[in-house]
Amino acid sequence: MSPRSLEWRLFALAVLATVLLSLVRLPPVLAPMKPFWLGLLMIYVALEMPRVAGLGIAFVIGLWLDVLVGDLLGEHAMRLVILTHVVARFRFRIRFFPVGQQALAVFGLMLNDRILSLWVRLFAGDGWPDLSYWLSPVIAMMLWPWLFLVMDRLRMRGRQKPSTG
Amino acid sequence: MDQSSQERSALFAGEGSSTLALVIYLAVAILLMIADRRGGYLEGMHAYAARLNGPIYTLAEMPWLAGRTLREGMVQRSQLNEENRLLSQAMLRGELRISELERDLLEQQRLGGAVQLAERERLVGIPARVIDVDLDPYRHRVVVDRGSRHGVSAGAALIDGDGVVGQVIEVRPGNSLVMLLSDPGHGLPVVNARSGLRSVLNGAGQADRLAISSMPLSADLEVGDVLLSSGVGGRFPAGLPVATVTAVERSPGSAFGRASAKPLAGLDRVRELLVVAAPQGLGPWPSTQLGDASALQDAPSADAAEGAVVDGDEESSEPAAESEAAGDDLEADAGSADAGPQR
Repeated sequence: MSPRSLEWRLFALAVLATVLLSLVRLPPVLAPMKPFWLGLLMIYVALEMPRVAGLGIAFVIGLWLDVLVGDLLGEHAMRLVILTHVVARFRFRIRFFPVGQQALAVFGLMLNDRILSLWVRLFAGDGWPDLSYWLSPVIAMMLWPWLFLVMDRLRMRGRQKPSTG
Repeated sequence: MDQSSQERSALFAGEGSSTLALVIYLAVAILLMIADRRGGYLEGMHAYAARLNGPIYTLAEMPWLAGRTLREGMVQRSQLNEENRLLSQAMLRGELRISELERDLLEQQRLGGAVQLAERERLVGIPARVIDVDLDPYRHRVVVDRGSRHGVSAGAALIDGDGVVGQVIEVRPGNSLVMLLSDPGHGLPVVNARSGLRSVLNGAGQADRLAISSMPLSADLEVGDVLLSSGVGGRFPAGLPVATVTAVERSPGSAFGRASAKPLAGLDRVRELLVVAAPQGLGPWPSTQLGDASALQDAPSADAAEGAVVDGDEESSEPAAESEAAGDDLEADAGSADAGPQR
């Protein structure tokens, strides 16, 4: 099996897992803290596996998410495309940040994403959400190192067998 | 920076991303959003794509279901008995109420006023359960586990034991998407049970507060009044309890008064519901905001569905067939009553 198809497989599994994670219901207290899981995944993929996923994939996944959530068609698609693009732009800078700084960058990206989403909401005629709306980027920042670690481990394990990089 | 990197395959798996691709994708996304919001052009596509969702929801629900099963396994027997007792009592009270209503109805018929209205507008309740998935904590949507396969149609009302919860906005074969009353895009024509005043109750984005955003200053509305669905517009069954008025605000400076109301149903903790099939043959529920509000203005005479009887008990064994029949019966008058304002 080529490393390429391995990466693809890993990516597909990760997408499925993150979609499920974002649908699982949390107790009401924790609900606002749910990070934008697919956003986190796309950041990782754009940083470390750029050959696997570009804007097109981000767009398609976003559309799928929109249908799953029953939202405005195109909202998640737009958010994921922008996220992926920004990360790809600054890829070489962000990649060589130490973990803490990287997490900060993730916080910034997620905050930007939140603002975009708010913008769409306001345009669509929904009201302002309450303050807990801004919690999610913070949680995403704290989760980032762990997600990075898990994904890296999984990739390493996949690579060891065919012995190519 | 990375633009010049080694591998540049198709648009889909491209290294990095070109600005052109970005612009194209963004434009498509924005167009989609506008088309979806404004025209409702994508309704069919939405529903079609959503057919694949069933298994995903089932998977995502699993941890929660497992937790619940575990908890249920540990519930004390005495607790169950107690709950059973309370439920039987509630049911008896319900039965009593039904027989009272039936008596009233007979009386009315004897008086000659209601021309078999009750026969024609008997509605069907389909028991449904909210699927334990979290769509977006900041949006007022839920998914229920009944779809077109079970006889649910778009526009059907959802009620719990206390009152109206929301309405079906998208039907798929095995599940359907529900917009809660509290969604800012939801407008429901209501009638004040005390004074007969009609108005439109809008969601305000909060689970415990609904709003009447404009009503005449002289409108007869007081704190504590109960609001029922009025059935204006023809898609929503009439006479279901919706909310109680909690505040009325009439500032002398403005031309209109406002009011807030508290929904009778606990919108943020609904689990078990009844889908009350809407009269069929009136076209789909428009996704545009305040669809029913415009119907209110255009079709003041649409009282066809007034005084409906919710009857979930005897018919629930054969919901699909019944709802067909009820729908067909209604089609004739309701269709003529408000054929105009659908779009």
